[in-house]
Amino acid sequence: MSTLVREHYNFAYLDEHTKRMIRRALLKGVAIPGYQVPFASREMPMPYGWGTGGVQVSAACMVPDDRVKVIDQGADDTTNAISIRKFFERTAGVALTERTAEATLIQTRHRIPEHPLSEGQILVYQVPIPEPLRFLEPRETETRKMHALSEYGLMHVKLYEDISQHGEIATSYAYPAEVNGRHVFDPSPIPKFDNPKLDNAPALQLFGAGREQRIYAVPPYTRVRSLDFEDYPFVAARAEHQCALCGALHTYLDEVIIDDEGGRMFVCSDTDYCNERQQANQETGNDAG
Amino acid sequence: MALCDRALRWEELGEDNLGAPAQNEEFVIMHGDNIQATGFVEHIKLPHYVDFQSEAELVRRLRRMHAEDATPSQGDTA
Repeated sequence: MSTLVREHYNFAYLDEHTKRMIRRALLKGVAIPGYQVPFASREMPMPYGWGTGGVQVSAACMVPDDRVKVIDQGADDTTNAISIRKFFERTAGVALTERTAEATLIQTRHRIPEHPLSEGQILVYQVPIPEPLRFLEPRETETRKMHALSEYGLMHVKLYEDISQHGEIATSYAYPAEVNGRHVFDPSPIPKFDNPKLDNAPALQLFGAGREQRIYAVPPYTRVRSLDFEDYPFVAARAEHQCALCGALHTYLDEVIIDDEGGRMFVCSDTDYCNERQQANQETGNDAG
Repeated sequence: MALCDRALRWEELGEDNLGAPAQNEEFVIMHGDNIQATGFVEHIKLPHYVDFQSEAELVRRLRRMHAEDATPSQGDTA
């Protein structure tokens, strides 16, 4: 396998010059947490919007000793996760895993794993729209100026309008947050339940948007504050149910329709964490909770 | 391409400036006239149930809140 990999691809697909260019952008991103660094995104052998940015960031960080995990919507067995995992198996020949704790590099789409991350791990996010202000201000020239001047009033007005119209901040995913007391950033479309996990995380968090050609980063142990108001504080919402498989009351749940009569069950969206808990439950004699 | 062309001609066709992103030339060209432009639609083909779940929870909570607010006032008027 490894000889085949070496014969057909440079390690992790990208050529070394491209990796150097991406690493430079990553270093700048780490040096200025939350700042969107433009980079010369390459065309990848997958459609734009399917994680081309995340894949390039992963490829630039990857070393042969890495153990890679890829998730989409929290699950290891979704189309996007499987195809990206196979891509790295083929082009880098790295070890693969589904266990969050064992992985050194995790690429994710739309979730942060439930299992707490540790020092030395790298979490790579696939980002569709890196600019948190894009829906408020379509012009890139303007949004860059707004970031430069820390001019985030527009975002606060948007959150305020949510409250006046709906009674609370009606943003439930891709919830804007302030990094290191300076830049407001879009944590990619993770449910806002995951936002607190961004804060002071021991792992290095990297964000890649291939189509929009932007990279940004949250270095380990960086303050990430979800935007809110004193009288309307940020709340990490989840479905008020119990996981039907592992009994968890503290995880983010997906709702699955199970029959034609509208029957439904709630299960953990993080499949690895759910399996881990189910095994533990079996060993301790089935006491869910 | 026709959509792109149409979007850039709003002024010439005498339409009101609504300040919409589709009326901004820079925005239209950046998002509508390159290979990357296919990406957003491609991205929609991937599953989004985690995001939709969080939206569903939000809408349910808001509805519950409004229903609770509405109940006593209905009692007053009846």
